[in-house]
Amino acid sequence: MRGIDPNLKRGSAQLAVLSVLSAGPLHGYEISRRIAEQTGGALKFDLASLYPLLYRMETDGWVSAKWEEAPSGRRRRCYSLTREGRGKLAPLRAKWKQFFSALNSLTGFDHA
Amino acid sequence: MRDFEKQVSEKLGRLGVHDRDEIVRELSGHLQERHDELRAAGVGEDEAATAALAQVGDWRRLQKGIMRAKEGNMTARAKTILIPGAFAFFVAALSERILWQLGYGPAYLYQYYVLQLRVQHLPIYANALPLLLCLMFAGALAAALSRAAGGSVRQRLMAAETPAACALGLFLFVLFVSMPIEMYMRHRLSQPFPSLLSWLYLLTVFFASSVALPAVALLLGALPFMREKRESQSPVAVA
Repeated sequence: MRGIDPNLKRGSAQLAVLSVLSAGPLHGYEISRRIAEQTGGALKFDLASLYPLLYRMETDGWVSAKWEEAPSGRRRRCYSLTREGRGKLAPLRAKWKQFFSALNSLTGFDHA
Repeated sequence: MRDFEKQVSEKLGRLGVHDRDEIVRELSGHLQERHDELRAAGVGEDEAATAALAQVGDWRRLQKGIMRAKEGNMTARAKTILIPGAFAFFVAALSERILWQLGYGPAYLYQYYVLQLRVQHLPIYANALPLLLCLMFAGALAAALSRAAGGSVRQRLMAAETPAACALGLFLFVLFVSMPIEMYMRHRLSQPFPSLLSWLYLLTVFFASSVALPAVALLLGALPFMREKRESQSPVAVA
């Protein structure tokens, strides 16, 4: 996710993380794995993108995190959506839908 | 097992955030997961470690990003809790002072009871209305400022209740510091001692008038600002 406008990048990254977390609590590695998997590898987060974003979202109260022990005994920090984060998801989805729709109208991507 | 924790710790440097150790543990756990997954897929040890570390991207960008996110923590707290809370406290303290000068101030219950050693009702609530209205305004002001700064409902509530939290601190100080000293001095000077019932009554009235009632007034003032503002429907800003 480099070389793209930072505002656009941040917005899309927030949407991606909120979307995967809407299915349930996940730890950082699983979040990045699911995003890559569900987008067919088109979106990939490196640590330098993912964790500052997660910490920022935690600061803003969109997600909460707590340490949990995996069956393997390894401790992981699991993130889950807060009520506030859940409330942000729908407007963010709507904005992005509007954005892509506008872009489609402009470029005719749908008809290509 | 690879010691990613040491590597992450070295690469991140001092970082300057209070939960640095937790961050190091979390990031190294991420790298370890990737490493183990690759090893399970039959990739060699060194190759797996290199591939796991490649997931970091840019260490400097990671370090800066974390610091910005955590600095934002302090800034956000200041904007959404501390500054609105300080405004509320200032308004509450100033209005109490002014009203007290005008003859609407709360009685000095603690001194009254301890010095007079009597239990009787004081007309404390009769004069309280102007102060409670000022406290409602202080609560509303704090919640509005916090909401304008993007504060969550919890942060708005914390900002609005700052004056009550300060009063609670004062109450606890009186309870655990001033009163034991007072009791000790009375014991030393062989002065008459109020009954337990008097103390309980005093504390209840003191708590109700200086903590509970103001807290309710502040909350009532803040309530209209607890609802979220409607999200703007403006398009996504690309530029």
